[in-house]
Amino acid sequence: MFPYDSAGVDATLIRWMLSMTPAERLEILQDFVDFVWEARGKDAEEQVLFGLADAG
Amino acid sequence: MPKSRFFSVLQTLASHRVDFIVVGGVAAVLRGAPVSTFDLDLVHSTAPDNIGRLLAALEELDACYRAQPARRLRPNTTHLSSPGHQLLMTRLGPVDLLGTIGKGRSYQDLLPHAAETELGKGLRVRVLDLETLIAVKEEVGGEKDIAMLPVLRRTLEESR
Repeated sequence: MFPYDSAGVDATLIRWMLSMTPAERLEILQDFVDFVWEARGKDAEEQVLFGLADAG
Repeated sequence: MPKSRFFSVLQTLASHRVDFIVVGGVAAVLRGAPVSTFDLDLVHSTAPDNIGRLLAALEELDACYRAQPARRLRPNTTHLSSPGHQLLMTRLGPVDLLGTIGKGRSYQDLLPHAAETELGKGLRVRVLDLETLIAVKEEVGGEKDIAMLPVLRRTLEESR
């Protein structure tokens, strides 16, 4: 079964996130960030952090 | 280079009793959207007593502007009282302090749309709701904001 809707969004991922508490979701995000730092190495950190655009 | 430590930054701000609302990508994640981000976006109250508490928290976090890291410029009362965006690096990772977001939405404007959310270890913070996150991203209309809209809209649908 194709999991994406017409906008390309994977609803199964959304349902997985919604099954967690906000604290667990924050932990998932933290784990992701930690993984990226480790995988990309120290040189990449500066590029990512100082390339951050405005948000909100 | 400090890595992002979202929980610890929020805990530090809460320990100084800073009035703020989590917005942006971290708010989207806390509301259930499967997106990623590296910085923590916060809209703070610009009330004078809150600015004082915020400055104390930022000192503890060793916050400096990240545009010119070598100069180690620190935000002051005037910066934090403005509606502008203060893009900071702290010892616990990047933090963006936003006086307003979207079309001039301030902390007071966003407050009715930001329920307190439990993050564990007794930490409760205000997090912007998905409806308002979507409205703000539509107002900003930047490529990055528009790209996130389908996920946010679907998350809102699924969470109803």
